[in-house]
Amino acid sequence: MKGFVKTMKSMKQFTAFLLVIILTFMIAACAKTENQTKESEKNNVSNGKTEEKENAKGRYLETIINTPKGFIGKGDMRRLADGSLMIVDTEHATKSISTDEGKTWKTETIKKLKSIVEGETEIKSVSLAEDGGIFISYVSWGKKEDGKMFPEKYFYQKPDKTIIEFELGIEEYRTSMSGSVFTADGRLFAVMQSMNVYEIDIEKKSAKKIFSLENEGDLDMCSNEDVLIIQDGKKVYFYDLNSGSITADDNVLNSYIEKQTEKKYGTVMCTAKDGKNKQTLFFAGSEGIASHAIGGSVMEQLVDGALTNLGDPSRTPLKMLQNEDGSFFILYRDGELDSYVYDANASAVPEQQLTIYSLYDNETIRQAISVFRKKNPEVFVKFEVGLSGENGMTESDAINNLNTELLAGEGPDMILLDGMPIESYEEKGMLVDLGDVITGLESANAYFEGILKGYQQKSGTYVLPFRYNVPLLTGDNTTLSKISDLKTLADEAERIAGLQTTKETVLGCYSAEELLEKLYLTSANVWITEDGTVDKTALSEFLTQAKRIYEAEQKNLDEKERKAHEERVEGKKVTEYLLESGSQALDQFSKLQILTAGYLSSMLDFQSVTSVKKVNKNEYKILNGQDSNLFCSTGSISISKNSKNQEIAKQFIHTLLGTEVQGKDLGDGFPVNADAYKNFTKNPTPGSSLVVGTKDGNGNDIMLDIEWPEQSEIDKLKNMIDSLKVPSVTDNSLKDEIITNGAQALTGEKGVEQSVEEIIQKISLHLQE
Amino acid sequence: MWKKLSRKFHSIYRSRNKNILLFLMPSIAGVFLFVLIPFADVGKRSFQTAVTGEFCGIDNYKVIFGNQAFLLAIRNTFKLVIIGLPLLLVASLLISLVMYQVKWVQALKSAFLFPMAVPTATVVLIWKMLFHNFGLMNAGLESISLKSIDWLGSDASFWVLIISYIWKNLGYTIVLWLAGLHNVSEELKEAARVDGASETKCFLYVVLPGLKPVLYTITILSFLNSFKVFREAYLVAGAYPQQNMYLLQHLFNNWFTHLEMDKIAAAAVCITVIFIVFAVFLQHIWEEEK
Amino acid sequence: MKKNEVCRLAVVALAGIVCVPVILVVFGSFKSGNELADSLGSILSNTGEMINWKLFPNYPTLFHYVKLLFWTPEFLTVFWNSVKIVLLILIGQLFVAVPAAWAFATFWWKGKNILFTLYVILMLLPFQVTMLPSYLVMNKMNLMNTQASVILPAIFSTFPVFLIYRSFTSIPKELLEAARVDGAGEFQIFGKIGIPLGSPGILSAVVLGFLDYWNMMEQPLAFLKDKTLWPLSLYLPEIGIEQAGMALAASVVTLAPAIFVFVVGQDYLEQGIAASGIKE
Repeated sequence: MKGFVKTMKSMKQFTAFLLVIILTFMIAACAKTENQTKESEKNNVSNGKTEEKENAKGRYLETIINTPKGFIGKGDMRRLADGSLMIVDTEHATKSISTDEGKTWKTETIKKLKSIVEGETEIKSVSLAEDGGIFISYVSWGKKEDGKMFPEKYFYQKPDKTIIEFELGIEEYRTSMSGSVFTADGRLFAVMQSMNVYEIDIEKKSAKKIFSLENEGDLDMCSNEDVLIIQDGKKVYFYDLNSGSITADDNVLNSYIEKQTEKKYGTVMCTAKDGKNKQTLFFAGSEGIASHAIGGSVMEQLVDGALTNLGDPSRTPLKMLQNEDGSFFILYRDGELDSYVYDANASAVPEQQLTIYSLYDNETIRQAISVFRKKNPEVFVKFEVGLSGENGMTESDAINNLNTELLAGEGPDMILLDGMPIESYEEKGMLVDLGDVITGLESANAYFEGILKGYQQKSGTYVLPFRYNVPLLTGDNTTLSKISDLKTLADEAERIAGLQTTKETVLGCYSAEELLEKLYLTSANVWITEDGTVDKTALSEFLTQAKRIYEAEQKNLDEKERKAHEERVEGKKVTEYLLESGSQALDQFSKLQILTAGYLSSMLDFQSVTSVKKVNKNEYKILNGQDSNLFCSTGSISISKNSKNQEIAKQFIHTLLGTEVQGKDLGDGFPVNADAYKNFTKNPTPGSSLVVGTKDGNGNDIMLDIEWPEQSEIDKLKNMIDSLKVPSVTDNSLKDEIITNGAQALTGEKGVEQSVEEIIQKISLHLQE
Repeated sequence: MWKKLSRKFHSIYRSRNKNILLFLMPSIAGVFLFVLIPFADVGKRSFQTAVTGEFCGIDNYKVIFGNQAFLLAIRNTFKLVIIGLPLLLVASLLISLVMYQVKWVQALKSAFLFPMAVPTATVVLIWKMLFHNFGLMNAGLESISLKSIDWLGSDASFWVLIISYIWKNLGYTIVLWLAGLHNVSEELKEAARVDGASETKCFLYVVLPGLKPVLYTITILSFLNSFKVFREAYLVAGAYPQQNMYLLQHLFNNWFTHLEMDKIAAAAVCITVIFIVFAVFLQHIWEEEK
Repeated sequence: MKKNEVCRLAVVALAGIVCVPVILVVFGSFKSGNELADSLGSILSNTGEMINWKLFPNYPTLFHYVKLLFWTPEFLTVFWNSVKIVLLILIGQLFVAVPAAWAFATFWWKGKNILFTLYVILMLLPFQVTMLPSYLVMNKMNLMNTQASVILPAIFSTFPVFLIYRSFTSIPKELLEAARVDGAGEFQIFGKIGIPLGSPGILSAVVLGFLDYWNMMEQPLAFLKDKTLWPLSLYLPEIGIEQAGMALAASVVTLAPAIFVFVVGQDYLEQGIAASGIKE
């Protein structure tokens, strides 16, 4: 018994020890949650406050500002001494200047930067000087350099475009730049990974250490003539540029920045002097925009983060500017630039919120949001993008998450149905009937009726397309007049391929997969019947005709051409070179193909088509497959049954389909609003022209003048669009199966019948579910 | 004396009953909130339409039993369990029998247990390297001049599932069997040998019956783990894999994409019924042993 | 005798084969980007050539690790997220599952068997089934998009109850009775006999739980919208096979804690699993 007690004793110790460890963990965890609850309580308090002043007026309104094309937030922005805005895009190695506050941008390539980003390098830091100078630090991983942990190099492009290249070897190459900034009078300061701050003299190619930051966390720098300001996530340092003294003891600021950083990294700053020459510091972070008079004892909240993109957890600011009129520009790390302008008449808090969900980003929606916000400052519109590209989430994961919310009776107010199972949403009664919206729209504007009502069902219209591509066939007039569907297309392809003069492909498809991709959209509707089975005859007819076209394509091809084609398209997506009418028209011009069958998505496309038409004596018409009069929606909107803001959502549709938004060519499809078509097709830069140089089949240089389409062409296209009324398949889940299996039938690996059987077997799973 | 003892016993008993609650309450409360209530909700939804929530009787059940995809998924999942589970159990038993006699068993055990620690995403990477059409498995097959196999696109895909399942769970099961083997008393075996029983007979009549108690645990755990193959299959082959790889979770996932919560709910209830039968059946066998 | 030799050799060979995939990944993570691109090219871009994978890297490099650990702050965020989530789950399970298992193992009450069978069945339900209703619960409790939505349900998982229960049943009843006769209270018995003697089982549940939750994917994907809250397991597939070097290095870094826990906990795991399988 004694022995037993003894073991119990030692066991007791062990257990006690275990418990102590566990308790420590729990306490730590609890303490943390307690902090969080405290914080949320605080938030509630502040919310209460804002509720009190619900009737108060005056708020900063957020508006999207144009950025240079393709800019995704890699780089830097600065206002230059002459008042213009400059953005350097380190992803595309360009510099863009805007003299009209972002409405238009003039972009040019920085050659030196281009050669750098094309190598195996990493841009570490960018800063722009007020005179337009550009400083860039980068580490090149490409070749090994002994003893250099970070072989960091620098270059500076002066305003006159001369370039200074140098290395500094700061701390024996054991560190690299985390951030850098030019002061108003052109001095350059940098913070290294080691948290040391240096002043860099570009002319002398030297660096001098000034001081060290105490914390390793967030980082942002800004400056003016007098002072350099740095925040390291816990403290804000002031470096007097004249005396060289350093202070970091503004406790109001320090505690503010610490709290901000705890919540979310990425607080940016800018500084300005007011009329009385008093220095004010501005901060933008997840909480919103706050200001602090230096030496003062309060932080003043100017903008509530929750009402703007600042509160969006997926967004982080990169750079902040204050403009002369007191408004702000904030550049986000995803490339969006927003202005924050004070409007004394707007209610202090938007009364309503509208959420729009989409799997993919959508330019037109963003445009509509910015227009809508201006008109309805009392509504906050949030655009949620389910798949951001860099995300590991699959399409169906994203849809499932959305569905969870929808089935729980919640979720977004509006849903963009592109890439989603439209039919399920309609059938299950998830969407609101938009019949009255259509009536309202039609009373205000003229619409392409077939497209607007393309998704009309017996029980109502639940989906409205707002952008679409036009399937287009181009070629010489006699050929075109004989083609009306897939079979006649095959007839003509065979005829053309058999001609003595034909030395190239007919449609520019070099492989079976490419061809099927091209023909898929205009025929797929026909194969799947209403009851969810596959129409075997239609599918085998499709493959039979496709096989004829494929053979015609292959007839005049040799290995050399095929190789050249492979090199040309390497790394590109099929949709980029094969389906766009514009790029195909150019191939037609350089005699790589005789007909084009593709999709028109913008005036740029149409411009190429009509320009080639002039030279080649071409004609164009709507491309039909087994189905006819198709349009390919690139954006379609719906309202969720769960939405509590259906009226606002309907208003948003009015904006989205109104003339202002529809009239802009954003490269993502044509307008549904027929009144807006006029604006859409208006030449934005009259008088300018473009010449494209290319090579013809024999390797000779040839030139093509790209001119804006004439009014007659624009009217003709409008008439064609008027005839479109059938939405093409938007669910791509079957496409892959059909293309991989169908390709085997085209190449003759398998018989057509056998392929059809296999396809039906494979996709039966989808249809049986 | 007796009275005193029995009174004491009673008081213990009563206080014990009270304690049961204290011990069990947190768990039961949590299980109710996070598992049982959600599941009850699934049960309710199996009699309703998906979005509008109207009562629709047993329509959903009728629909799923006429649904080919559901039947296929059930068949595949069942096949995975019925083939994979015994294969795993027998393979691991054989290995553990050999290992039981080996001295340096520790290193071997570690080697077999290793795959269990591999993260799902890494398994996916490995699958892609191994089972791609131009992957390592086919490179190996070709190097010994065999025809390569379309692992993920043909009927072979089912065996990829099985291989992955066994690979991941072999070590775990071996350890379980070894523990069971250590528990079979040496004296009994000696006695059998002295009685002149052959090795085979000794195994069949002494060792095997001695292993029965671990069988329950092994089976339940292996069964549970057989459902974990899904995420890997999903990440490698997508929402619509080759037909033989199409498991119940694929179907649930895809149904969810199409807002078919009604079908999911009905199917879930059916599957749970199967689980109950399976679990009760196993427990019954096990209880009998006791 | 000879037959035995053959058997042993076969088992050793099999152990080797089982480890091959892991070894491939570990060595692969030291290959340079170019080398990986060369050897994985056939898989990534369907060039129609067979994969050409050498086990050992031509020029071993730590580049991917440096890049991952020093240049990818998100990686560290998700790494610590994982650590936090898993630790909190395991600690929570200790407080919930261990007493419950003790109750199942040592007490008897009406309906115990039914309740236990229910626990076993709930343990078997796939996540897809309860995803929507769980969401409803989380939403009611205002837990959506917080790590608690992943942690809380896992704490109340019935799997550790099942596992620990088995090891508690192997404690001899006589010992408990003796302690009771000595006047020890139920909590004393639980703390002084149950936990120490059941500790292999408890620790094996901890080790298994760690491996499981370290790789958890479905729950965080469904309940965590904010990517800064994501665990490592979701970040890994995000790297994608196109960045093979990073993906391999990240795999190894993910594997490392699992292996560590495994090596430390292996003995307990075995004892625990063994105990859980033994008839009382």
